[in-house]
Amino acid sequence: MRDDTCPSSFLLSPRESFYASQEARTRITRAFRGPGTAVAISPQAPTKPAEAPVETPSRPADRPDPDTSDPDADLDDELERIIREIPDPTPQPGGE
Amino acid sequence: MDGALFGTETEYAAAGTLSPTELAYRVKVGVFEGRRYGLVEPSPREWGEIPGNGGFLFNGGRMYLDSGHLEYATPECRTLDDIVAAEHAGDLIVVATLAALGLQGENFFIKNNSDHFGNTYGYHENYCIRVSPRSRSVVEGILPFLVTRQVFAGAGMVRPASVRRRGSRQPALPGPTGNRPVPPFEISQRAAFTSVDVSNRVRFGGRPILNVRDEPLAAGRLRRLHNIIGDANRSEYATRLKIGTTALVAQLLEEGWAPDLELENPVRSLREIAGNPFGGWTVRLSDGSTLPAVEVQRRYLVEANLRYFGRDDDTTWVLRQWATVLNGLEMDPMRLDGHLDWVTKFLVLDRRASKSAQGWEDPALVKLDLAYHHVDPAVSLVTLLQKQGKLKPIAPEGLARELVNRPPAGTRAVARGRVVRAMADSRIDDMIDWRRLAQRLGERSGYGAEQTVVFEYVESHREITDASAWPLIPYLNGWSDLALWNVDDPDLPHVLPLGDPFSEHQEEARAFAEGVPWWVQAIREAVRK
Repeated sequence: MRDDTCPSSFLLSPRESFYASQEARTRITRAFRGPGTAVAISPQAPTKPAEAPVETPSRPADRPDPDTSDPDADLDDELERIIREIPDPTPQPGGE
Repeated sequence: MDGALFGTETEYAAAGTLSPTELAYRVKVGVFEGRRYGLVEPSPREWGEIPGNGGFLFNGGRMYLDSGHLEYATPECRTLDDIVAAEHAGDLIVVATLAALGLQGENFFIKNNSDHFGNTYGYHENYCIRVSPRSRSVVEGILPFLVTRQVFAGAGMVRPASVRRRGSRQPALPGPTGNRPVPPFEISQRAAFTSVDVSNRVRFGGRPILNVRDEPLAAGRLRRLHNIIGDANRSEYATRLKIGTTALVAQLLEEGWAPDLELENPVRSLREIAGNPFGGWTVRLSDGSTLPAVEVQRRYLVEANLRYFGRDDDTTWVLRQWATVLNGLEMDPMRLDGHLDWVTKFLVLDRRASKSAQGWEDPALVKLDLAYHHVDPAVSLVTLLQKQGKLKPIAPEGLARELVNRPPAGTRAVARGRVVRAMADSRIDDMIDWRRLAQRLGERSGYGAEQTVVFEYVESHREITDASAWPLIPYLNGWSDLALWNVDDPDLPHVLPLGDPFSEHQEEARAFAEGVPWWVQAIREAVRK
């Protein structure tokens, strides 16, 4: 399977309502066990997302920055360039 | 994806030194000039398209003008890789044509759905189904899915002023948002412009969530589900998920399954969800209860998982990612940065707003919003994010470039592309007398008569009622058949029917393509006489 998928840690937040039946539970649990993905959904799994022992990736803004420099400074520069280079918003014909 | 067939239509916005309509026109001409990417059509078509308005491409898709926009319809696709790549191939054709015309750098095309001046334009999805798209079970069954699908399929946009003037539609947001002010941001580009749940029209009389125009493009029981509520996604991940989930839901409905829930007011729910970028969306059901939008999606997911998991790679990918995304949306939508368009865009804009004295009122935000949808990689915010690893392309590298000039495998687009190529190689379009064609249509296209001309020319390729049209229109290309003038018997043109969209029609196409040079030579000689 392709590896450009969402973080597998999201899979550790099942809700009871997600499972309409025991059969669905079995099949969906099996579905989430992709190659190399160590995911165990036990009957004791937390039912609320906030309680799930997830290893969610932190967003860039949440990560400690040892250099105290803005890691996205380059992005800001590029955004400024793009803002300069593209035309102003232009009215378009109504479509469909 | 087993049993599924899909394609999309994109109306590009345009901006630059030329007006949007002139730019669209010039690039449309450029696409077919010298048979660069396809073959121009000399016939008028349904819905009032005049001769020369567009044509089929060598990839089996179509490029044309519609309502002043340059519009690209992908060829029919059976896999998610193909539909993502085929969509991107359209972007590549547009950008390359701009360059060939010397217009690149000053003129641009934008793949979005709102100009921020109150105008919207379409991104339509087509799914081949085996039941009527007008049936009650399909309409009622798909509406809750489409209303809530935007939580992962929305492209996001800065809320246009015209929408803000309608007043505050957004109730107090639940849960984690606390007292945080709600930025003027919609997670969907289309919700604000949608006013009815179902209609057989697409624009006038109210723009619907689901268009039930029954326009079969194939033979037998195969019909076309025409969904016009979708946004033009830029994230390949979101595009795959949008098309994949909808194809699965279409299959559920054609098998007779029903979600057993009904929204009290689909349009209101659509707009309420769109106006909330913080998650925790709920919808009100017709029985007065409320249900989280994510749970509505899970209703469909659970059933699709029971029926289809493991069927094929695309289906399994969709089911896994559908579940993963719904969990992620429930936890914190912002953690889907880099996957979903609206989240990715929102975080870029929010970052900019936090550094601006004007906050979310900074006019640069609208430009960044548009930059996200520019298809020229030199100024595309998506390209920038991809280069920085913040937004990953997931289609096989190079496939989009391949699909500029060849059709995707496994559908009748293969046959169409082959024959269109054969016609172009024979320079059949050289024989079109555009002046006479314009005169003829001009003479007969008085008020009310234009439809007659359209009917006579294209109502049926196999039974053209006005054989005298052939000298003016030596060929006809359509989604479901192609035809050439038979100079020996104008009433019996050479026709290649493409009734089964799931077939490549290899043998028939090969035989037809081999005949094209001979038939074209005969036409050329007949025209000379």
